[in-house]
Amino acid sequence: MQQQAQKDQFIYLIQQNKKLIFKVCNAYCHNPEDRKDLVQEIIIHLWQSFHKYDNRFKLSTWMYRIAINTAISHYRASSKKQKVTVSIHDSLIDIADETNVELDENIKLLYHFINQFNDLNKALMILYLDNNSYKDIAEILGISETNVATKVNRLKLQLKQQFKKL
Amino acid sequence: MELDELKDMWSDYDKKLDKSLKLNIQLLRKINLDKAKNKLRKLMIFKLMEMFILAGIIIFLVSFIADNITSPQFSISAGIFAFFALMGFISNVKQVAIMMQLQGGYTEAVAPLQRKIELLKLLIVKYVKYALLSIPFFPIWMILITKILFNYDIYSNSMRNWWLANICVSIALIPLVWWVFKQLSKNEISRFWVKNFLEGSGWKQAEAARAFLTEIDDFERDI
Repeated sequence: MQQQAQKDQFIYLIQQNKKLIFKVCNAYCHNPEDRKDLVQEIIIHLWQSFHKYDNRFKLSTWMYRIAINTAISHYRASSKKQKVTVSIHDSLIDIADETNVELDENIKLLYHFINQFNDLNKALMILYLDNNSYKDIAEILGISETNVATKVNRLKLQLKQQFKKL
Repeated sequence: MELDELKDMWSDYDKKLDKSLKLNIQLLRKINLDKAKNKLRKLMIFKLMEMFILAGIIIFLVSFIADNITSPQFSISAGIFAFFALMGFISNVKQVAIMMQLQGGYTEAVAPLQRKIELLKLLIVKYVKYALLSIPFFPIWMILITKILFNYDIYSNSMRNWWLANICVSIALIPLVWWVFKQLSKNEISRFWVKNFLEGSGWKQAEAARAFLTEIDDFERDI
């Protein structure tokens, strides 16, 4: 009974934060099938850590850490990796109405440029675009705030140059 | 395009996702989230077992050396074997220590956690690499194993030529093993056939781990 209540609470949490998971998965996986696996893997990792959640941290910090760590590990594992997930046909998190969220050409380009960054800079850019404070970004990534500021500026410049080249 | 515009655009995209993103609750309920196996825990149990076995071997070999101190063929063989077992034990302790730090799952900050994962991968490859070095010592293993299992002194009771042949094979193996060992230690292997030869040995994982560790170092550096 308690387990069921915990699961309901967890589902509610995922429901509220599905966007975060979706955006992290989109940044790290181009292949839709792979993305489905990654969504599932992130949810499993979140569930496994759910009972250990330390409320001294912001919930979003906790979720970003797990989502990004899972995405980087998933991305870095070779194609030969053994799946911990089960095969599913449908995606756990998906866009219900594709026409409604037709990707702007510039967003597509932005994703394309972010994809060219290394794994850690990719995470930094997603966190920055998602309006996280430098303090939160530093806490999620485990680097100093000044380092976050320097890196964000550098990456922004790189993006600007990429867009200029077009 | 100005970067502020980009952020506005991202925020519009965010709003669109708010409306359109759907969580498949039915499917989520159907998936047994607890069933997903914790690979790390399994590996840690395996490594702990290995550690206890190696500790047992070391203790046994030390007492074996004490009992056979007057027979150098046995005490030296046991000493060399104990050295490799000790190296393996130390490596296992380091691996288990990292695994214990990773037990908390992926809740730690990204850069330090990814560093631990890559260090663990490197340690596992190093473990295989050092185990390779024991191959040329196979005549010594024969002396030790026949003594321990059958209480037979193969060293004194075998023909000189047979020993010479084994020692020659053992010496011939040294350059090959050393070459593989050196290749596995390199950051980059340029020759295609060498790469193919070492494919299954863990070199590829070690190379990727080293490259990612450099990336993490750069990322963590305040520059």
